[in-house]
Parts: sequence; structure tokens; C-alpha cells
Amino acid sequence: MQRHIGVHMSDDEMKLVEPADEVAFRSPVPTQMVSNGEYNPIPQTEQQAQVESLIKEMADVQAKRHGMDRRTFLATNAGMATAFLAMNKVFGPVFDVSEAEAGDMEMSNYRRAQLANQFIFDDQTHFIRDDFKQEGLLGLTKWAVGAKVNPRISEAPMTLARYKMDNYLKEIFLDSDTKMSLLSGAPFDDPSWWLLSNDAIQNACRAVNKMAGNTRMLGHTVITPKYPNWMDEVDRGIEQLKPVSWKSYTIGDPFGPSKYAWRLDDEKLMYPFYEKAIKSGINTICIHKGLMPRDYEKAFAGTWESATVNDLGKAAKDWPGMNFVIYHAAIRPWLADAPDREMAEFEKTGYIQWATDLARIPEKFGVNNVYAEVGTTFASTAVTNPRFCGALLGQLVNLMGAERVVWGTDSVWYGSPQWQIEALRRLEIPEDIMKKQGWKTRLGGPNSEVKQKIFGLNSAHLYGLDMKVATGPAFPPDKLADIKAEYLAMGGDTGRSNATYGYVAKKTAA
Amino acid sequence: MLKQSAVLAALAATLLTSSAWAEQRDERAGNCDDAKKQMDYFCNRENSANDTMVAVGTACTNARKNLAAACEGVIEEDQAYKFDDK
Repeated sequence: MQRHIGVHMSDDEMKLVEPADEVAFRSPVPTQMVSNGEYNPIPQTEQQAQVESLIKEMADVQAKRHGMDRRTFLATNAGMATAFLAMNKVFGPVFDVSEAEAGDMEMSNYRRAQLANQFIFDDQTHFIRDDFKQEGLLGLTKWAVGAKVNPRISEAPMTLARYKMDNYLKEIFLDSDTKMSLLSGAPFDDPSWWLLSNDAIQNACRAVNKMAGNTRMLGHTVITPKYPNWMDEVDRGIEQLKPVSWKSYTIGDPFGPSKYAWRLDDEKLMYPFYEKAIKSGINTICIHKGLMPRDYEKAFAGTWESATVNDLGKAAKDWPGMNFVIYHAAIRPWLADAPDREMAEFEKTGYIQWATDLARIPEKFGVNNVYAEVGTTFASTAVTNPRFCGALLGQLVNLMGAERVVWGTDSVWYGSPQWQIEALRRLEIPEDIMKKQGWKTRLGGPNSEVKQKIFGLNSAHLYGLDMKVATGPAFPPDKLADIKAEYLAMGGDTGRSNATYGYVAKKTAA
Repeated sequence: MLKQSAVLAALAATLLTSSAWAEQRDERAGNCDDAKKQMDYFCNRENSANDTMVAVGTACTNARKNLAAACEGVIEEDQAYKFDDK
């Protein structure tokens, strides 16, 4: 078998795999781990094999009914519904989908059209500056390819171009139902890794909003406590940049142990900032928390505690005029390294590492200014272990309140967020978990009050947007909507091939 | 007496030197042992099979610098927020 550029597996390792696009089943929902060539793919699990078998079986029946082949059927909305149906049969009833929807093209297309106007505010998005050269960042997308979480992930080439502004606009505003986004940045100890400058963030927002003739994109100003001139940038933010909120990293650098780690409750360092922020009216700060490797005590020795939320309660209580939006819901596992293990722990103890600590803060400290955002956390659990994803969302909604959970996808790292949107629309907390935990609040249907709040109304409240209803004409048509309509009319949304590229384990190698 | 004074002087010099050396170490990203653990994890490419963060690659650079700062007293100047692009 030919070894492609960038494939690092040895000759012996190559004997154990096959090309995914030739042998892997083209499913709308992942059924097998695919490697990008940098590591050995984990053989298909028993549950994944069951899902795949069921999808094939059900799709064959439906495809025959509709006079098409299986692959064509699976590229339709009914095909997507079929895949969720198969997942339910294996993982339990987690996704809201019916046999009728899977078998009826009109019904599945109608459902998608009915939800197209849903107000979706993506609270965490990124793109990179044009001169960004660190190809290692593509590891994020390679993970998404390997984990098979986004069936359309391979439609854009595996180059840094997929992270740049033009593809960001396409993936978020044309290929998904997202209506507004919050553009962010990130600091790194190595300055060549900075994604965007604070000026570039605001300039992008101005350009997009001017083009749209509407407010579609809001922007952060990244602050860097412990850097020598960090408060100067705060002042510049207040006076010139005027972001809607601040963004920061208590861990200092999201991808490595940093000398700039700090705490939210550091009175000397942070309290002067909170005072200034409140006075300026820019009183929301979004903070990266969690997302640590399994061996975090070694990997981030000496700094990992800054990634927990043990500094949050006191700061939130001391500064009730600030809003603290905790990104990734502070979940510890980076990219769901072992979701089955995390689920087993939750079933036993009701505890999800660091996310449960966050969920308990409002009651423990008597505060109502703490929010959980689900970027990357949702993406990495919705398909790999949907039951765990339901447990996590259930805990956030029931312990913090549905008005304290905000939608974010960490796009554009994992491709277009439409698959994540569709998964949340269908997700429900399993009934046995509801009963065992004594929870009262369910997620509800695709446009339930709870999901409207998560998808957009909570962020609208945080950022002072005049949004009372999360569907329909509350969001006015604009130039960007016109462009999307034209894009869809030209067939822009129908290219789903469900193909993946890379390597899968040979059946005999399992 | 002279021999005793020499020993004391040598001891004082050693203490002064190690104290000065300790002051020059930068332990903000963890002490020397911590930095060794960081490097052992992030600079081992075998770990990239199970951890995308290792594969991304910037953490190994951080760990090397942290080790130099905490173990060898090789301290880089703190960076200021500064960008040329707008």
C-alpha cells in the first residue's frame, strides 16, 4: 500500500491498516476510528460495529424504497436521521429521532427547514492570521478526522487555509445554521503561535458586519495577566478596541506548561482589572479552563491547578458585577481521551472531573454570575459517547440552571459546526440518569425553551442583544442571509459525501 | 585556627554562590523537578499517539525553556503584548 506524505507509521504498522476511503463504511455518523497517519487507529469497538451494521441494514431498506443506492440515501437528511436512530439502538435513547423521519424524505427535509431560522450564537470561534505558520495546529482537525466526529471534515484540504477567515465564514455562516459568532484569540508563550492580534479581531468584526449590513460577529480582547504590559492592553481595549468581552487563559498557554499561569482570585493581580472592567461596562470575561491530558499532573507539573476552577468561587463572589464565562465547562479530559472511563466514573459517583466542580459553584458560593460554555467539550463527547454528553449537559443545566449554559463549538477547528448543532437539537438526558440524579430539567425538543436559551438567548442576554425569541423573524434578513440563500440554491449544502480519508485498522488486526 | 577559618570561608562562599544561583532560577512554570516531568511528557513523540496536545508540538518548546529557567538559570526576558499586524 502506498504511504502518503505525512504518514509516520512504520512498515509493520502499515501492514495492520487499510485506506479508509476504500474500505471504511461511508456513514453520516462515525462508526470507526480513522487515523490521519500519525498514529495507529484504535480498532472499531463492538458498539461502533453494531452502529455500522444497523445503519447499513436500515439504509438498504430505505434506499430500496426510495429507488436510490445506499450511499446516495445516506447523504440525505433522512440518511442522517437513520444514523442517529442506529446510535440510539446501540447507546440507548439519547437522540430525538423517529423511524418515520428516517423513512420519509419530506419529513426529514421539512424538519431541517423548520429549524433553519433558529437563533444560534456561537460563543467561541477562532480563525488564524494570514501569516500564521505553525502547522502543528492542524493536529486539532486531525483529531476530528481520526475520531470521525464530523462527516464533512475532509471536504476542506488539510492545510492551514482551512483555519483562515474565508473558510471560517463559509463553514460557520454558509454551511451551518449559526447566526452570530464571537471571535476569540489565544496567547502562547511562543509568540509565533498567537492566533490573532486584538486589533485583527476587531477589524474582522467590522468588515464582516459591514458586509452583512447587520451585527453578525462580535469580538474579544485577549488579556495576558503577568505579562509586563498587560494592563496597558486592558486600557487600550477599553479606550480603542471596545470588545464585547474579555478573553483570558489562567493556564497561560492552552497547549503547554506556561510561566504566565495565574488565578482569578489573585487580589493583587486581578482585582484592579475587575474594577476597571466593571467601570468600563465591559464586564464579561471568558476564561479557558480544563482540557488537560490524562497525565496532567506530569504534563503540566507545577501549573495544572490554574486549569481547575478552584479560583473561581471567591472571585465571582467578590465581584458580582462581573460575568465569568467558563469555557469548555472546565472539563478535564482533553478531546475525550477516554469517554467510556469518564462515563463509568459518573455512573458510580455522579462526578465529572472539574465540570462538576464548576456546576456546584453557584450553589456553594451563592453566586449567579458564573456561566458554562461547551466548546470542544460537546464536540468531543456527542458522538464518541452520547450518553456521557447527555449526562454532562444534564448536570450543567440542572445544577447551574438552563440560563447559565451557553453554546460554543470552538469552530473552525473541527470543520463546520452544523453536525454539532444537529446533535444538540436531538440530544436528551437519558431517563435513568434523570431519575438516579434526581434532576427535574430535561433538554427537550430541538427548539425547546432550554435549547433556545443554550443556543442563543443566554448569550443574547450577556451581550445585550435585543433577542426575545430564538426563531423566525426576530433576526432580520441581511446581505449574509442573501449570500447563504444563493449558496444553497446553487447546491452548496448537498455535497456531503460521508467519505473520510486516512487509515482504519484491518478487521484481522483487531 | 587558620585551617578552620579557611573551611568556614569556603563554606560561606558555597552558600553565597548557591543562594545567588537559587535567586536566578525562574520557577514560575514549576520547579526543576516539575520542568523535567513536563519535558519527559511533551518531548516524547510516542505520547502523541494518545495525546493531540503532544502532536501539536509547542508544549515541548515551552518545557525545554521551563527546564532551562528552573534548572539552569537560563531565563528569557518576559515578552510584552506586541503585534505588528492589524
